Amino acid sequence: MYIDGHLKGPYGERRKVSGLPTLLFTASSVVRDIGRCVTMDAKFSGDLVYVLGATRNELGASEFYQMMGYTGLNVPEVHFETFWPQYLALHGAITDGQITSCHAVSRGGLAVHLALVAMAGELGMEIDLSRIPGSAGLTPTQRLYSESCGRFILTVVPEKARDLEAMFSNDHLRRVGVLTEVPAFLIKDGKKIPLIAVDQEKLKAKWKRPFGGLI
Amino acid sequence: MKQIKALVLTGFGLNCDYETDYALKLAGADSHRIHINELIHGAGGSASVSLGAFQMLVFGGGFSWADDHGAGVLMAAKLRRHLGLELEKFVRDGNLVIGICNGFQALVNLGLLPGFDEIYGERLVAITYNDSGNFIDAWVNLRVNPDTPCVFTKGLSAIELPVRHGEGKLIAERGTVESLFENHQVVMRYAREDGSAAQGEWPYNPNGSDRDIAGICDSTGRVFGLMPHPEAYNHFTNHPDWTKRRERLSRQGQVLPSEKGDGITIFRNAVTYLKEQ
Repeated sequence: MYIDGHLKGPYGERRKVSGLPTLLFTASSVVRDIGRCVTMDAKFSGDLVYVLGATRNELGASEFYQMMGYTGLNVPEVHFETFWPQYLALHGAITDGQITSCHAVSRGGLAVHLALVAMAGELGMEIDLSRIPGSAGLTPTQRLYSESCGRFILTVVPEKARDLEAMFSNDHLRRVGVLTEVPAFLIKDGKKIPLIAVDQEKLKAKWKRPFGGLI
Repeated sequence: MKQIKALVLTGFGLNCDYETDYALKLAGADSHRIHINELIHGAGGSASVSLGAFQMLVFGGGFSWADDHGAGVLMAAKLRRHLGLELEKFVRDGNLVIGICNGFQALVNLGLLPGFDEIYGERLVAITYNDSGNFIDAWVNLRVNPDTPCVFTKGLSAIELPVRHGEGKLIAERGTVESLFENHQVVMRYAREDGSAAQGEWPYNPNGSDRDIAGICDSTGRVFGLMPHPEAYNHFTNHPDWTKRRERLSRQGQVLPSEKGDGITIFRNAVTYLKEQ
């Protein structure tokens, strides 16, 4: 099998576990002008942070549940008809030079990937979780760690914010925060005490820790 | 117009030859990738490639002979055995030699560097395992010695380039290092982002090299060896911060002055020097 690994059995023995036969796609494409490419790192403090794509109650098999020892039920689903026009619009915005950084949200959910964008840019970030697009009535945990598909974190220079917002519907694209010079990484939920308040450097030290002294 | 012919060695585990060849072409050279064996047999008279037809010889990066017996050791032994005197003549005739990364390691093992007082063949400098004990792949800031006779770095005071090596730490006896400095044969040293000396501090000095030495030349300035890869900064998008630079310029209403990467300057300097001879 192509996707397999070895797990420890009940008597300490090695057991080979193979993934079920699954159709996998890897897509690649030629970029016409590399000068138009956008990377994931936040660039400048004062830039606005946007989230594109709805967050749903989809924590099934997530990193968060795995850490808690659960599998869950609501695994993320791909809503092609909803996502496709968003992807095309995002491509248009990137081609027009509207976007300064762009990062897809995947394993770990929004909280993890907002942190990755901040760490990559070595900047602070202030986010209001109550502003993210998504299903009504989600708990803070669901909004932080749900692994819903079809989402992106964008950073944008304030002067281009209006043009960008005009390209998307308010259901899909929302301004959720701002990049800051201070190393504080803050995620608030409305006006309440921050859910997450940590120095970006500390996050980065933890993030790099699995590599030991190798990098 | 005088065409400058450059010979980029290939084979036996060298792996930067295409990129180096490309960088030389961008710099205006008529560059050719030549297998080490072609050159060696050429010296014996049986094949077509002769060093004499070129003005620049390039020892590029890679893992020649899988770094057996130390990086660059077997490459140097093979070339000395087959081309020893011809290589020395090539240098004495006023041609240029550059060794990048594995090529630098080969040049010190061949004794083409440091070449004090144009005496070649003696191994006075070693390039050994990084202090970290690991292969390192990172971008470094380099400060260029303004008084060096090195023809490759003319007009440069600082440059950013990538390093990727497991053995990049230059060591030598104290007297040798002192002589390198006295003769301005220390061409470039690892530095901090603000241009101040790295003073051995990781990651600014990526390998623990003695006195932050990243590249040296011989006493004529026509043989140059360095650990960083100038050929790997051939386009502005090679730099890890290029999207940020583009954005900064765009917000100031400017565009990039050139698509070429700064590393091309080093090859262009060589081509310009040779054209003026």
